[in-house]
Amino acid sequence: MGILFTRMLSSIFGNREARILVLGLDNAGKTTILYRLQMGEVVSTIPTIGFNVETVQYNNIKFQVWDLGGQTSIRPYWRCYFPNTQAIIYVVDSSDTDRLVTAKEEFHAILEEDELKGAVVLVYANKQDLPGALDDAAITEALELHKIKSRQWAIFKASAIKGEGLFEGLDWLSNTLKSGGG
Amino acid sequence: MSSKKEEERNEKIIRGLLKLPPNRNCINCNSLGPQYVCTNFWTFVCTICSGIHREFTHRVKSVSMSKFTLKEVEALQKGGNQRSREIFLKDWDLQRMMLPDNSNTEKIREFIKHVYVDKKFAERMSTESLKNHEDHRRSRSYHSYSQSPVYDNQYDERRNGKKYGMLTRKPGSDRGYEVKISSILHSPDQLPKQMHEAKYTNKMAVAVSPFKFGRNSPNFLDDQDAKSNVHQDLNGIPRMLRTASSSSCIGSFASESISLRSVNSANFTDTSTEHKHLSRTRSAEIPAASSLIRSSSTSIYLVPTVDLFTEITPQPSSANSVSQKFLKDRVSENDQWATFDTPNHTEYATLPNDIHPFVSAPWHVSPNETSQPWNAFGDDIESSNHSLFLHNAPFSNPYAEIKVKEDHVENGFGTSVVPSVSSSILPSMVNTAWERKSTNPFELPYTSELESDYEFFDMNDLRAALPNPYTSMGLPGGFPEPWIPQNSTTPFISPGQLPGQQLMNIHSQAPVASVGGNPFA
Repeated sequence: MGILFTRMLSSIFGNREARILVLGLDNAGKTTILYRLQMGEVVSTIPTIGFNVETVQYNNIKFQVWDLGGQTSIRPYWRCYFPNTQAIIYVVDSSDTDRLVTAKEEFHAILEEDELKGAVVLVYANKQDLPGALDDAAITEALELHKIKSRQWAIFKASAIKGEGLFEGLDWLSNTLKSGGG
Repeated sequence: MSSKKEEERNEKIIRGLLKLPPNRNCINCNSLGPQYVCTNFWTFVCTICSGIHREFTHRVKSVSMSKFTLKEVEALQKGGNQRSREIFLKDWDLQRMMLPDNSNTEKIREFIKHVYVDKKFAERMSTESLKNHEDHRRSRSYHSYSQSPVYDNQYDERRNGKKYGMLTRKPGSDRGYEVKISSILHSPDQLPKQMHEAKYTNKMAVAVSPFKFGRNSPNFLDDQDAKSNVHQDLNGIPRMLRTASSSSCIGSFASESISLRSVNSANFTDTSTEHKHLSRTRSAEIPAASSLIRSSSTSIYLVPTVDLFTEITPQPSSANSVSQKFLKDRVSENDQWATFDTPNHTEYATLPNDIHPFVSAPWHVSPNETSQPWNAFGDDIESSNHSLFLHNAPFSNPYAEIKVKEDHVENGFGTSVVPSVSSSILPSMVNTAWERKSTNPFELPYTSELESDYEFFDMNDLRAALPNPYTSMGLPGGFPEPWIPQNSTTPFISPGQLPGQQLMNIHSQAPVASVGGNPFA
């Protein structure tokens, strides 16, 4: 009853909650993005083992953002976090061209997951501040984003360090989720 | 799946690499047990440093959370902290420049920037020393692959001494020897030994006299030494702990600081001859090989030995000749260095003097030694000697910064108080000392005391000759009150039995106390 009421209220006022996973290869910048979004500053991070979770209020959406460690051996554990996820933020290190293939493979493996069928996908082509970083078009190409069917996705150039592109992405995400995409 | 097997294999190798002494500590902040690999430099770093490396867009991989390709593993095998230290920290003087503490990320950030980005310590050298340095490098470079030039292994082994037993793995068959060396290095007399070892290792590379090789089959000696020192090691753990920090200063000796090296070499010319002479006669007389000689001098041959093995693995004999040759060459160069290098580094100018006693003392002493007992307990004896040397050091060691001083003092606990006193006290001390010693079932009192006796004289002579501004300062402090009374009743060994007091006076650091538990102390 109370829950229902809350739901009604939040739908009236546009308040929603969304559970979001931040995924990507190690060293892509997931944690930095998470804290940039949450605190608005660049924090000093260490490689994530396990996860970080923070809530980010943006555009009347309360994002519960799960940043999962991206190193090879812990990627299999991502799936433990898949249920009830409305959106995936997939972070790519645009300057790490060597591993774009791996990034692509992991990305498509995620999309295959049943539990993520309904999730929208936001891709951050991160580390645009670095020389040699590929732009969003190139990353789109590399990740073969065009192969995505029956799912809403978007890619944004971003630099977590400079704080560029992150909130544009979040804008898109909140709009998409509000419009029922999630 | 073969790839799975390969993964496992790779992980195993990396785990093995992690156990190598140089890789047991984060290369940046020296914290224990690094779990990350920085794949730009193939170094092992701690979590915090790995995070900071990433800020510089260096790539890091967790040892346990990542998978490594064969290529990466190979690169790691060739790289590692040792190699990187040579490259990026060539000019980092561990003695004078402390590695940043990883609780201070800002410092680490700075460090990483300077070392890996700006490469400040990779190249900075005066032209003259550069030349020498290059020579030096080249001479050793033929053991290029081995992960570790000898000295650094020693340094790290020292630091992690008690674990040396673990190092039986293969990547680098040379390991075995290094391990043994480490055990030697860790014998209670560590610090002093380290000191002069460091010297020797440096000298070794620079200028070694052939006797070291000619005299012994490296294997045999090494083994024996290792064994003879094992128990000491166990008992000496506290000391090892203590020397952990000191090792860093030695590291710096060993490290590329040319100035030191040159100083050392300056020293070496005289001491080596002496040493050569004495040790020869001794070993001839006492084939059983007194472990004093060995352990003190082993450091000397060991070094080359290791070099040889990393290099020319199978044949010690051929290796010997080779190294002899090159060593001889070096010797001549050595002289030059002595002449013109030292003056340049005024800071270290005092060093040779300080060291001198250390180096020379054992040799002076040696003639006294009686044959058999030495085998078993040479180390103990030595330890007393060394502590003697040690004590000199703190007083007269202007070059040593805080760290070093601490170590000296620490090392110089109980026993070492004595040596700093003038020789006049000695006779009485010696007598009492013998009695005291006899309480210790493991001790060979007479020889050792005799030895120390001799040493005092030596040292004092030497020191008298030294232009040492610190002596005046140091003596009054350590000498007057604790001295006389304590000597009459409980001389030297007392530190072993009364670990607390004297030590506390000198230095209130934890490891010291534990010396008491060491029957060999």
